[in-house]
Amino acid sequence: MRSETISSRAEARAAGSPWGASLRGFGNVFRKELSSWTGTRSRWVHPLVWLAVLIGPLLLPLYLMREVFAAQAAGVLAMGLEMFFTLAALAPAVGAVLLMQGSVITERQLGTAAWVLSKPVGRSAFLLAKLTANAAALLIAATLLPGAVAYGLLSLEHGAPLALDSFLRALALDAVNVLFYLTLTLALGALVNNRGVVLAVPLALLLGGDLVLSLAPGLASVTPWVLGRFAAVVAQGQALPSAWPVLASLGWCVVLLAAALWRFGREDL
Amino acid sequence: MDTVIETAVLSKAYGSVQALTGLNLKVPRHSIFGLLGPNGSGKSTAMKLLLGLVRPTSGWGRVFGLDIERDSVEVRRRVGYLAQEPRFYEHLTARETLRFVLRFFDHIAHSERERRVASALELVGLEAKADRPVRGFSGGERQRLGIAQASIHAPDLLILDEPAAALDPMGRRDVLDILRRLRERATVVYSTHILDDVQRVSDRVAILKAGRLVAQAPVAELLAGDAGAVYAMVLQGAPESLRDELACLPWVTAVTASRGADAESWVVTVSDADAAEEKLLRLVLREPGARVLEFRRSRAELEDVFLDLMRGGEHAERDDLVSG
Repeated sequence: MRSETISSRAEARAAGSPWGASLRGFGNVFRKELSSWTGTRSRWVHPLVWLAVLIGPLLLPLYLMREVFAAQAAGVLAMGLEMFFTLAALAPAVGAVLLMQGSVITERQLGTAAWVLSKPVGRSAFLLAKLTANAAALLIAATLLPGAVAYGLLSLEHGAPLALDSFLRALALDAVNVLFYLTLTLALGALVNNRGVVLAVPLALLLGGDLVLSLAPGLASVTPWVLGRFAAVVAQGQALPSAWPVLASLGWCVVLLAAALWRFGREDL
Repeated sequence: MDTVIETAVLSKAYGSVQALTGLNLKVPRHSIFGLLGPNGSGKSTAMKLLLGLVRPTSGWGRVFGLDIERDSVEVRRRVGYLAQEPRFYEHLTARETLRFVLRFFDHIAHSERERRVASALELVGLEAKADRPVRGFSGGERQRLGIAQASIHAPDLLILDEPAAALDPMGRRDVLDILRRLRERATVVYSTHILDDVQRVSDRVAILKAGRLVAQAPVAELLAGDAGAVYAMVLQGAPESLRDELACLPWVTAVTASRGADAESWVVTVSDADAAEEKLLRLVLREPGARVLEFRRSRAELEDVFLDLMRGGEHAERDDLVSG
């Protein structure tokens, strides 16, 4: 028994630090989460849906209602850029909330979280794999792919390729916005047991942001609510009005994730 | 005793509900250890505590000498677990589920992984359904898949919560066979309500009642009990005076009789089995007209012991059984 104990402890030490143990199993859970996007109908349904949602409206100023938009002072290109980047901040964020609202709660309630965590998997690895896999899949399907199509269509309208760095920086701002809502929803799933709360809080923040900002404009620098507007500005070649909303949104992601990891680490499954 | 699991005053409370109180458990290596108790007695909680799925309120536990809280991930590397109601990702097939589980353990070559998956499917008789999504599986098939996923990485310890639940009699028999086979290379801790199965395959049992351990002992020791040996006789023509005579003997503690259609059954409880085996039958046959149709030493059934403990019977207070 004594030698067994000593050798087992040595093995445990060899497995790495406590942080290393808490990340054990990340790759396998990440692969499984990603397979729910790539191994099912989602593989083509998601890209098609996001193209329809984000590129469909862009066809109005560019082709379908061109005369109406051309009569506006801003012009077709500027209105197309603003339309795309504002929508690309909002719609994928709604998608992130809807997709992630059951991610943790459902697994806790059905018992699949307990099953996976009965294997040598760290609880942090379980949550982080869910976040990173879904973030990667959603950002590719709902931000990068429509972004590439929009870049092509808007460049055609411009008559020459648009400035790629400005376009990519604008896409990155939208991506930060999506990441915030994805993290918020995942964190709420770990922090509370009520699916209604997990759904309602992010959607209220997302849809009520403009209203809150009209009452308290100072909140713009500590929330992600202006990122869509900033993206439209940056896409047109202008400087980023302020870095604070970006830093604050990323900071919130870290805080929310830390809270979720702390709470989930103490959850009885 | 080479101990695989050891707990000391391990307790768990959910709010004001005390699910487990002061559990002191010792599970020897290569034993088949049955965890018994009615619903809500704390069996599943005890298993989840060992796996780090729930956090103890107080006390400590070690598995292979590793702390169940601090070294939980390493503990789980060496343990295979079957939950009471096994849940899997519904869209995955049985084969994909087993591949998914195996990837959590040591890195092995693809061909070796496939061989182990096929072998596990064969072990539980799921080859024909290997490539169907789990969502279409019956309760029994899920249970079989649960046993396959718990044992696929050849763990040193298997913790199985009601492994025979949801199985038909054939399936139950198969599970008992699997447990016996697994014992050669692993220790098996399992909970069940089927006491007959426990008596058939287990070496040791622990009995829980309302979150407390009321007995822990080798099955044979538990069955022997402390009430002395019991002898059963089927007789014809034995007078009541003979029964009274037996009851007065110093080594006889009780005689109970029940009348059948054409014979009488006596149950004689004695404090000295040697004296009983030497003298009891002779005393009865000495009586003119008495005919003995059957005479045997009666073996207690685990069910009797279990029910006695659940009623708060004399075993419940026995420290020697609890300390095992």
